Amino acid sequence: MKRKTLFLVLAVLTTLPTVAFAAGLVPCGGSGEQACQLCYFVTLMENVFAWLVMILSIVVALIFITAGLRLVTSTGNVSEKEAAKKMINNAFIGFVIVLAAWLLVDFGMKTLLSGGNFAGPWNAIQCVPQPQSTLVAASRGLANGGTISESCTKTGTTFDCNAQVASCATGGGNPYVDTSDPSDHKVNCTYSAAAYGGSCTAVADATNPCHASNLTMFGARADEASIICNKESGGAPIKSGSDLCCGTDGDCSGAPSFSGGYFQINVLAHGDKVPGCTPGTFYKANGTEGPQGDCVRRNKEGICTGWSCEITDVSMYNTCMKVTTDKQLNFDIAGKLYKSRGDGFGDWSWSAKRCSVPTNI
Amino acid sequence: MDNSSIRTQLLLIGIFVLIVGILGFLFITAPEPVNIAPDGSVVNFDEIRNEQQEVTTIIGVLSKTGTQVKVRDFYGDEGVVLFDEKEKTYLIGEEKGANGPIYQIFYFAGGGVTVSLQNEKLNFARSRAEEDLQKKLGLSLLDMCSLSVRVTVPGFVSDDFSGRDLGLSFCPGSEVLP
Repeated sequence: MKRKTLFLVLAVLTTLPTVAFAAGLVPCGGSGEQACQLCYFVTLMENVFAWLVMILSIVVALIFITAGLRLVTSTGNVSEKEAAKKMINNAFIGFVIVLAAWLLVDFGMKTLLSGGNFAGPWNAIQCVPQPQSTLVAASRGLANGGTISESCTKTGTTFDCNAQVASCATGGGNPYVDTSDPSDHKVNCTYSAAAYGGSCTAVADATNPCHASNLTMFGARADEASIICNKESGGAPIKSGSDLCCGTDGDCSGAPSFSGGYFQINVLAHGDKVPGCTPGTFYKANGTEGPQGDCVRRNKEGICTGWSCEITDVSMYNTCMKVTTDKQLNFDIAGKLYKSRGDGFGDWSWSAKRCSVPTNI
Repeated sequence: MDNSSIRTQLLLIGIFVLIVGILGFLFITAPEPVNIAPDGSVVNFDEIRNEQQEVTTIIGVLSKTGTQVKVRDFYGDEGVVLFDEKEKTYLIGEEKGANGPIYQIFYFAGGGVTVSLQNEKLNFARSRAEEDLQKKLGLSLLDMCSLSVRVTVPGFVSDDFSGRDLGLSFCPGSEVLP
């Protein structure tokens, strides 16, 4: 009976996600998280151990409560009283052993490493993205062409340049193995101009929100997504000045914009992906040319920059335009659009074309 | 209850108190968490107190070498708004024209600054933005050139100048704009 009760309590504890923090156990692959790699399996194990310690604390507390109740209700029954005391002792000793084990390792690490000044989080494992060969990464930034070098892998006195050559070729470069220095063989990788066209350059500055490290939702094409993001918005969370609802009179002065954020998400077309936004309820199209109404203004290239639509519900419009001020929401919607196009940049064809980024590969 | 049993229990309680004490000590003496910029440098957004207990906010802007440069506290300036609460992105400067913003200046957590030029008269927009930015940061032109300030143009303003950093006009390597 007691075992059944204990089993029941444990089953409830491990099943309830709010208690188990199950959502936080798997540290990768989710929205805004790094792609999974082997290291994250170790992190998962670490999370499981931390979770078990937490569960253990709860179980020990429950045992204390149960034993306490038994002690109080033993009413002179010596065997019952002893059993309750034994229960408390055993739980206490077990808990002390678990905590002491952690302390022992912590003490050992601090004493033996760094002259006693060790303060690193020895019990926390940090995963970093797999390093990408600079030869591949550089191809993203050499819109005007150029050559970069990377040393070959040295084992003893021999050199293996195969990985660097393959990496260069993957990035669309022309590899040349330079053996002129006997102590350091290199692969010189030459890229022709217009690996990415126009004036587009890769975002090298990690503080730019359009940096590839923030765009894991684009998977292997994060570098290209970074270029498109930078072309669309310049890495600033701005409202569009060309997707405007100008009304039927064609006056676009101060007209409300219906696209915004780093990827210039169009909320007339994709408002359904914004939480709380009900598409089609906050504007009137006024025309027959499309969901944005008729074109009432064009730029020098002949591209429409003002439409006959009107905003009819300002409150709902503001909710939908959260895509401008909420970076993660903007990136997440951009990632969904990219996936819906079969891993393609069809929704940003203007920028993709000008930067020579293929919409689909 | 015999004496050995009492001794065992007292010993266990002593160990428990010791462990709790050590854990408590470690918790209390643990160093304060610090903000780490993407480039690995420590970012200070601390508040310091002088002898009169007046609070001064320290704002850092990333330099080209990756260090933090202390700048004037602009949080209280008129028109400075917290633009993205989750990301702690501030709109610290803006000038509006008849057809929308001429420029907007954003300050990102971590110390990044982006000047977004949104008027087709790019040179005019940049010079207005530079003037505003210098006032906000309270730095000399020379000091401004040491900062990693991005000057960008969105695609809808200019195909030719969008997608890259145009630089501040008075700094080496900046682009000449129409």
